[in-house]
Formats: sequence, C-alpha cells, structure tokens
Amino acid sequence: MVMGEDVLRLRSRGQSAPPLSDEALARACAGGDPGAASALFDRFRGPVARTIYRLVGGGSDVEDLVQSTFLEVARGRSVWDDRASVLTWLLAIATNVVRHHRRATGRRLRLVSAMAWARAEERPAARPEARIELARAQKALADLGEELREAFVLCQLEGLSAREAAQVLGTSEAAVWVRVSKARKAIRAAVLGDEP
Amino acid sequence: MSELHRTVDSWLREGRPEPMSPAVREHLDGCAPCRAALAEVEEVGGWFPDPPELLGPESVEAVRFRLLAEARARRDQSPPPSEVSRASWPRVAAVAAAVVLVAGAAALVLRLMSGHQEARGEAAPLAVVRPAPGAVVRQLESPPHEVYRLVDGSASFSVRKLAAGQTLRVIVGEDLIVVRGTRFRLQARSGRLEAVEVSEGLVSLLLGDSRELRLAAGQTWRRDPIAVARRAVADHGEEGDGAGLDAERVTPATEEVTRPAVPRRTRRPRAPAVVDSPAVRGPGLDQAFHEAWGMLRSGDPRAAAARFDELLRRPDLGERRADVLFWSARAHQDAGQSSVARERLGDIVRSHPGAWHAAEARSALGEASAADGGTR
Ligand SMILES: [Zn+2]
Repeated sequence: MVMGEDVLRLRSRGQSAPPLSDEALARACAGGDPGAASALFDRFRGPVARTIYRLVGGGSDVEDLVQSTFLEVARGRSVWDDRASVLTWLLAIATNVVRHHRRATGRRLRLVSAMAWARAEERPAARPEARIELARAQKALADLGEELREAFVLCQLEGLSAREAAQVLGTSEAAVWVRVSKARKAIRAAVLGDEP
Repeated sequence: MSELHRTVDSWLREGRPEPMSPAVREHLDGCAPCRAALAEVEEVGGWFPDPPELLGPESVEAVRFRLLAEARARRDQSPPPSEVSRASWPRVAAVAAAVVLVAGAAALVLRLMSGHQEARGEAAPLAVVRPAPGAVVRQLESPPHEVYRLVDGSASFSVRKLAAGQTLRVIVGEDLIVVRGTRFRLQARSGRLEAVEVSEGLVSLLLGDSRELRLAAGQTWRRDPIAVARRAVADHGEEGDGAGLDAERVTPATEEVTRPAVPRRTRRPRAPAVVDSPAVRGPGLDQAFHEAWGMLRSGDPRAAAARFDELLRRPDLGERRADVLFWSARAHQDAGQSSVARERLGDIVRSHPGAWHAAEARSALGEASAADGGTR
C-alpha cells in the first residue's frame, strides 16, 4: 500500500512530492486507500463545512455533519465517479447528510441570529442598518424551503454553476436556476421589506 | 427582478467565473438592466459573509483521526496478510491470541520500522515504543503522520519533540490518542483501550463515544473498572487461558484523574447559538439574553453575570437554559468567580449533556482545573 503513505505525506508542508490532483485523491479513496479520506478532508473541509453551516443555519451540528460527510467517503459508501468534480461530489454527500439529519431529528432550523448580530457588531463603521440586514438575511435563509435554500447556498454563496448545483441536487439546471432566483427574491424582500 | 440578457445570464449561471470575459464586460457596460441585476446578486451575497473558522484545530484533528481509523477498519476487513505481519512482532508470551505478538522484555527498545520504509530511506520514527511482554502494537503509518495501533497489552511510548507538520497518534479500538512530545503508557485488552498513563507532556484522548480528554503528566485515565473486570472475566472464560494480561496488574496505582478538557485560553468568545423555537421563547427572553451578552462583550462581566443569573431563574427557558448557563459561566469566569463558573458548567454537563455547549463546557472545566493545578 504505497499509495497510502504517499497520500498521507501530502499533508506535510515542504515535501517535494507533487500533490495529487483532486481526482487522483478521490480515486485513491475509492480504491480503499486509508489516508485518502483524511487528505480529501484536509483539502475540502473549508467549502464542505461552510456549505453545511449555511444549510443548517449554524449551530453545534456542523462539526458532526462534516465528519459524517467524510465518513461516507472513508467507509466507501459513496464513491466518486468522473461525472462530476470532486467538490461537487462532496457537496452532494454533504447535502444528503444534512437532509437526513434534518429528517432524523425533525428539528427546526437553528438560527444563528446572535452570531449574525455579533458579526455585524464587529464590523467597524458599518451602517447601523447593516446589522439588521444581516440578521434578517439569516432568518430569511432559514425560512426558505429546503429546495430553495439548497440551490441558493450552492449557487449564490458557494459559487457553483447552475449545472454543478443540478448535479448536487439531482435536478435540472433550469430548475436550479429558478430556485436560485426565487430564493434571492424572497431574501431581498425579507431584508429590504419589499413586497415580493 | 429585471430580465437578464443572455450573455450575462449565462455568466451568472456559470457561477460568475473570473476573470469576466470581454463579452460579458462589454454587455454590462452597455446595459443598465443587466448591471442592476448583477448589483442585486452582489448585494444579496453581501448579506452572507463567510463564517469564521468553523472547525478548530482540535476538531480537525479528531475528524482526521476518525477518518483514518475508519478507512483502516474498512481495509482491515479484508487484510492483505503481508501488510499485517510487516509491522508486527514475533510472538513470545503464551497469550492465547491469533495475532503476532511481541518479543523481548519491557526494557527492549523496539523501533517499529518496516523494511519497506528502510528501503526508501525514510526519516526515523517519531516514537520509540516499548511494548510489555505479550503486547501487540502495530505501526500503521510512517512519519510525518505516524500512526500506531495497540491491539492488546500495554506499551510505553516515548515521543520526540514533534516538528511542525508531524503528528503521532495511537489507535486503540474506537479510541484515539493524539500526542504531543511526551511519554505515556497505554493498556489495552482485545482491541479495547483500558488505561492511559502520562508521565511527561500532554496527551489528548478521543474516546469512541466522542468524549475528549486531555491528560497531563502524572495523570492516569482508566476505563470504568467494573466494565474492565467484567470484560476480563468474559475474555478469560472464552479463551480458557489464564496467561492474558490483567488490567489490575499492568495499571499502576497512580491517582486516577478523569479530566475532560480541551483547554484553549486564547479562543475568542463564541457567540451563542439560538434555537428559534416558539416553545422555548418566553416574552423578552431574547432581549434580556442579548443585553446580558452585550454587557459581557463590552467588558462588564459582573453585570453580565448578574443578568444571566437573573435569567436562570426564569421558568420558561427550555432548551435555552444551556445557553444561559454557558454564558453565565463565562461571565463569572471573566469576573474572577471561577467556582461559580465551574458550578454552571457542571450544571450544563449534568442537565444538558446533549446541548451544543456540553462539549465546550467540558473543555472549559478542564481549562479551569488546569489553571487551578498550575497556580496552587
Ligand atoms: Zn443586458
């Protein structure tokens, strides 16, 4: 299992070995390489954690859900194929993990309104209404239906293309784009007090 | 929303790839509705700033470790025989087990290098491992992220100062030990961790049930002795062989400390999460909570503590009680009343073990007792 050690070595700085591509890492995972899942975690935990955070509205579940996402990979329950990018594949797993979690717990979305306020407070010289906007936007996102929220988070906040988001969500590109537009409209209305 | 023109619309659909193509730029320059549409998209994006770092270093380490253990377990379900024996020792003690066991006395220093590593001239291992007779230890990964698995028996680890980017971990069953430059000893039985004894440095212990402990020099962690004894009896009965290691014999009679901890003094105060459920939202609760929290943030922990404590007397707190307890603890701690702070944290751990603060409370409790240990 030379591969395992090679993958592990990726994580140390200053190594001369060229880094594996995302795809090679994902293939190493599929091949049961023991170090590959944690190497993928190191490489992609940022966007995965952020997406989960936004889908669940923050809270303490984020870490567990991030771990669950990568455990799916480590356990070989989800295997990358080259139909989508590695990030798209991981976000698809994360989205499913969040959906299952929500259904399993039956919990309402947590609102990190306090956190939103705190962040607003930390912004020097921000317009006073900026705080209100931030908190309202968080609440509006939480109030969206699951489908709209997912499309909005992936496209608007994570910068995926509508096509990639469609791969994540298992729907059409057109459907995604409609959801993003609806979500944006609803959030704007909630924040600015417009009539939708 | 304005109707978008096709060039700009496709660019938006593609996730606004940078750099913007000249065609898109040109269209935007000449088309007010498209400019307005883009401004709207950007405005909405601006309401969702990137969150702060979501996973702290300790969390990252824990997840990484768990993934490694899982991926290993997956592979071990169909173990390639050469892989198993490569990093193991020949058997000496008459312990009934179908695994390869350790040769040599406790004093014998065994460098767990595989031939494979030597052939490639890799760096020396980060740890010197001294297994007790009959113990089974395997090296799973080599530096810079060295990983061992202790299957059975006890073994002492002496870890040299780790350089940046180096990690050393030991897996025992579902439990994980994360090591900084340190000396410690582990005891396992049939793949289950039973005791950790630290003689130097610091060891993080990530238990399979998700608890995290941090052990400093002089501290020993031991699994519930009743469970250990029960298991020992069961093992004995099944195997019909009295030569197995006794947990009681191997574990020294050091003072037992079970100290939950992830001390991190420099951590910035994290804003409270709020469960927005009408059932737990009494009138004025949010406002009172934010006022108290605002006092704490503005540097008046005494006033904040009083306000949080006042809140604690409300009967309608519901799930938010854990929030209030947590911030009351924080305020009391900052006001120098650490015994009250500890009480509050203890209350969270006891009354709200499932709350998101419980882990934080346990870690803060560890921090508080570490501080006490250091100054008294
Ligand atoms: Zn236009």
